[in-house]
Order: sequence, then structure tokens, then C-alpha cells
Amino acid sequence: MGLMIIVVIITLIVLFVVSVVYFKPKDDPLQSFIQKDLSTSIISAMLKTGSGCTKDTTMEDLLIDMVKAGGGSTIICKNSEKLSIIYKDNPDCQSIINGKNALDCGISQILKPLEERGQPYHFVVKVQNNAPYINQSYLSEEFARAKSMEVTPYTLPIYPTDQVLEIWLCMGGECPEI
Amino acid sequence: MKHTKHIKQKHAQLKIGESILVLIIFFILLTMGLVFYAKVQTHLTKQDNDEFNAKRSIDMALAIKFLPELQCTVQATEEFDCIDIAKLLIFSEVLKNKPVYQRYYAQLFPNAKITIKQAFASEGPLISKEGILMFDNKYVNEEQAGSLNILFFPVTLYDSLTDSNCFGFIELEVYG
Repeated sequence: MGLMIIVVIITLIVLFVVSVVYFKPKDDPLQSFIQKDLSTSIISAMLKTGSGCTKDTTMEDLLIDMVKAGGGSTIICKNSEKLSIIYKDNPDCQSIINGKNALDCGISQILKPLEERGQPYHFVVKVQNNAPYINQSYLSEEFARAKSMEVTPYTLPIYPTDQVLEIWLCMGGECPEI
Repeated sequence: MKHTKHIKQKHAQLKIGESILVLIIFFILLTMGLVFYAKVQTHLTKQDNDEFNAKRSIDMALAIKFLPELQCTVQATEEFDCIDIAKLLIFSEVLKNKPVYQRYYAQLFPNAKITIKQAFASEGPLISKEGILMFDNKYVNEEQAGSLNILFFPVTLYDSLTDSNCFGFIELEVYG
């Protein structure tokens, strides 16, 4: 009988160990591919996108102008009427007078599909250790306190100064170290 | 004499009871082991299946991104993550009408649906809100599918007529 008890205990231990090993959740290669790829692809495509403020300015130009103007803008929009009409449902696009307004409109339009798909994100634009110029996030209830997976910022040098503009797009939750 | 016989009988009964108990426990353990083995096997099969589908989705995603039929070219140099809208419109039109091409792309993107959508266009929308259905080759309905991976990845949509870049998404639905 004593031997039986030992056998039972050993069997239960073996089952427990095997279950811990086999049922351990594995890293989802698809999720990690999406998260790693999405963040950098969105930012690089965003920077190339025409701003709609003037014919020859891209979102990158507006971002750099915003930093040089200390959070404002030196560019007056001449071509923005279309944007206000097309994206009239978006409150960020209702009044586009200067580059900063066009930038806010563009960024919120570009990040809108993430919200529509329920994908939490945190978007921050800042210069090194300064306070962020843009700090926008969508964190659904279940991800309210979640931290994003490790992410490195997209950097843009601000010539002729030695400052570097950091663009963070953290997927899955809040950016961990900002 | 009678008393000793009675004790022996009791002892034997106890032994039989013990043996039966051991057998019951043995069979319980055996059943538990079999159930556990079946669960592990099911779990492993599902895991392998998910991994296979994930890899298939990633392969397809990369294939679309680098499809030369759609990629933007500037002075014969291909641009990454960029789709030429003029090429895209012609491509989807040709694909609709030519079964030979449909078969070719069905091999490249089996059981998948690809749509291109626009999120922000400075010169006004070039694509309808529903987007351009580039390719629909799914064999099963959403309800019948064992698994469904929906991937969406951003691209620059280049309009050669206005020489402007818009922001768009490729939406890839891969059915398992």
C-alpha cells in the first residue's frame, strides 16, 4: 500500500512537470512580426506622406518645422481646404491653418485604423530628454496598464542643431521608457 | 480453532480489499495518463497548426510587400513599402478578367483575401472607403475556417498623376 502511495505521488509529480513544460505559452511568431514590423513601417510611411498643408511639404517637413518652432509652426497652409472637407468627421481636421494643425490632422488620420482595429498604441514625438511635443495614445480597457513590447524610436536629425527628434510608436500598450 | 479461522478469513478479506484498491488506483492512474497524453497531443497538433498558419501569413505578407507588379519605381529603383496606385488599378482590373493570372496568383496566395485601403490622402481620396479588392481567393467562409489571421501593414500609396504620396494599408486575410 505504501508503495502504491509513492507511485501515485511520483505519477502526479511527473504529470505536473510534463504539463508545465508542454502547456507553457509559446511566443506567437505572427504577433511579434506584426508588432516589430508595424511600428517602423507606419512611421516611415507616415514621414513620406504628403502633408496636405502645401503642395511640397511632407509630414517629415512639418515635424521638423514643429521642433524648430518649439512646438508651433512657421508654415502657413495654402492647400488645406481639401483636408477639412474630406476629413470633416475628424475633429483634428476641422480647422487647418498652419503646419501644426495639418500635422495633428494627418497623424490622427493615419493612426485611426489602429483604433478601428482595437490595436492599442502610444505615439510620442519628442526631442531627447525634453517634454513630448505630441503624446497620443489609444489604450483599450484591457490594455489600460499594459506596457508595450520593447521598441526603439525612429530618429530624425534636426539640422543645423545637434538635436535628434525621436518618434516612438509603441504597439500593444504604453511606451516603457520615456 | 474457530477463532483462528475467523482471523485468517478476515486477514484474507483485507488482502483482497487491498489488492482491489491497488487495482482501482492503477486503472485511475492509467486513465489519467491516457487522457493527459491525448490532451498533450491535441495541444501540440494545434500549436504546430497555428505556427504553420502564422508562417504562411508572414510569407504572404512579405510576398505582397515586394510584389514587383505593384512596387513604386523611381528612375528604375524600387522603393520599399510603396505601391503605385496606377499599377494597382490596372493589376486588379487585369486579374478580374484573366483566369490564367487568377490561377497564378492563387498559387502565390492560397486561401487568402487582399485589400488595399487608404487612410490619409493630402490630394483627396484616390480609393473608395472600402478599398481596392486586389485578390480574393478564399476557399472557405469565415464560419467554416479553422483559423483566420488578419494582418494589416502600412504602405505608401504613390499617385503618379499628382506626384503625391498617400498613406494606406494592405489588409491580408489568411484563412486556415
